[in-house]
Parts: sequence; C-alpha cells; structure tokens
Amino acid sequence: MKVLKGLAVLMLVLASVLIVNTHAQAGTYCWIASDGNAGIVEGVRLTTTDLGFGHYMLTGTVTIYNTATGASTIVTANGAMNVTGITTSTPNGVLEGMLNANGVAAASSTVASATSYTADVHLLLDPGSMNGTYFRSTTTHTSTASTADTRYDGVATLTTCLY
Amino acid sequence: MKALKIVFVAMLFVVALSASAFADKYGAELCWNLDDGKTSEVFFLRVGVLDFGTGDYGLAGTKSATTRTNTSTATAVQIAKGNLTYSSMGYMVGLQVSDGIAGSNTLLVENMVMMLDSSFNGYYFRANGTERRFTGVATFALCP
Repeated sequence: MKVLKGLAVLMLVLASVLIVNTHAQAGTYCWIASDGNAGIVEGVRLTTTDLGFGHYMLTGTVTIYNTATGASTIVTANGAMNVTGITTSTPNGVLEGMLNANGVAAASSTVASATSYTADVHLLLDPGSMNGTYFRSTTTHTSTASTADTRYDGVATLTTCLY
Repeated sequence: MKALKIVFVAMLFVVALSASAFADKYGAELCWNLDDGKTSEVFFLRVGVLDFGTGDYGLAGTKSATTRTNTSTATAVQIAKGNLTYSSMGYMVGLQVSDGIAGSNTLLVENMVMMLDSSFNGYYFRANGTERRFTGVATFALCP
C-alpha cells in the first residue's frame, strides 16, 4: 500500500515534468544587428525550436534596412544553435549558432534579372541576455558571376518583436 | 484502495502519453563517427531531430573535429544543421557545417551529404571552399 502510494506520487511528478518539458521550449526572438556596413541595419526575427540535448533549430527572416534610402529587403533565414563552451568559468556556456540567409534584391524587376544573395552567419550569444556578436559573409549572385563580399563582424542586441 | 489503484493507472497513462508526445516532438539525438582519411583528424556528428511528420526530419547539432598529433589532441566544435529524408536510396542526410573560426578572414561553411542504410551506417561526402572533397565512412554511434 505504501509502495503503491509512493509510486503514484512518483508518476505524478514524472508526468508534470514531462508535460512542462513538452510545452515550454519554443520561442520567437528578435535582434537588432549592426556590423559596420555603413548605412545598413538589420532586423533578425527567429523562431527557435528546442530539439532537446542543447540543440535548437532556427527559422525566420532578416530584414535589411538602408538608413539612407529607407529601402528594406527581407530575406529568409534558417539555421541551428547549440550550447557550447561550458567550462568552470562559463558554467552556462555560450549559444553558438549558424544561419544561412537567402534572398533577392528588392529592385529586381524580373526573375531573370534578379540579383540573389546568400549569407552565412556565425552567432555567439550570451545565454542569459541573448545578446552577442556575429560574423557575416555575403555572396552576390547574378546571371554571370558570384561575388563574395567582405566578412563583417557585428553586434546583435535582443529587442522586442513587433509582430 | 480501489480509488488509489485507479489513480495509479491514470498516472501511468498520463506518463505514457507525455513520454510519447516528448519523443514525437523532440525525436531522439543521433550520433555518428565520421572518418574520411584526413590525416590525424576524425569527426563526431551529434544532432537533435525534429519530425515534420512527412517522412522528413530537421536536424540541428554539432560536428566535433578532433585533431591528434604526436604531442597533442585538440577538439573544435562546429555547428551543423540540415535535414534527413528517406528515399529509394536509403536515408539521405544533407548538412551544412559552420566552423565559426573568428580569426579567419572568411567564414568556412562546409556542405555534407550522408547516404545511410537502414542501420544508419553508410558513407558521406564533405566539401568546403578551401579543401578538396573528402569521402568517408559514417558509423552510427551511441551518443555519450
């Protein structure tokens, strides 16, 4: 009887833990990103899916805003993030991630003349504040050539998502 | 006593349901040892799995690169993401891996494809912008 009671309590605790774990992991986060590319500010919106074991999947958009012209371009982004760098001095580790972004120039008038961009991004975020740094390398693709841009080092600051 | 038994059975049911939902949503963690003959360097791939429910799976995790010399062993952790799908050729895994070395002038992103049999063992190709293509053996492993 006592054993049965104990088992029932244990089951209740286990059920609670499993239910909480099932529903509490996903989220949508937004960052303002600036990396010294003059006149350009980027807004990053990513939905994270917790795969367990410290692995996260990222999907969302990067909005590239030209402060001089007011023009903006939205590109899609997907990637992965992991908890890495756990040491005695950094017990929470860092959130290290990668993103691939793909998009076309807003000014392109037809599909045939469109310039497309691919960007590789490496993220390093503080798991507490979700602020951090990143490195970005962009390649521009036209119908005749692919041209690699300079690598940019930037700062990503967590902000409130507007939608 | 009877009520307690009913409660106990109900609890078991809830635990079973929750465990199933957890497994469905988060899948499992999959790991492989990768060896493509590159001198003194071996890899360990470790990914979480997201089941899209269509026979396609999203992957996110890490690829550890361990380099051994006569005097030292160093491990670099790289970030990996991709997808797994089943086809007539077996399980196919496509991955992109970012090494994220801050000191380099360009970001190194490696592309990988793995062709696996039903036991999740098989072979793989990897290539990036600076090295030649490597062909290696992928051995399904227990995740530590």
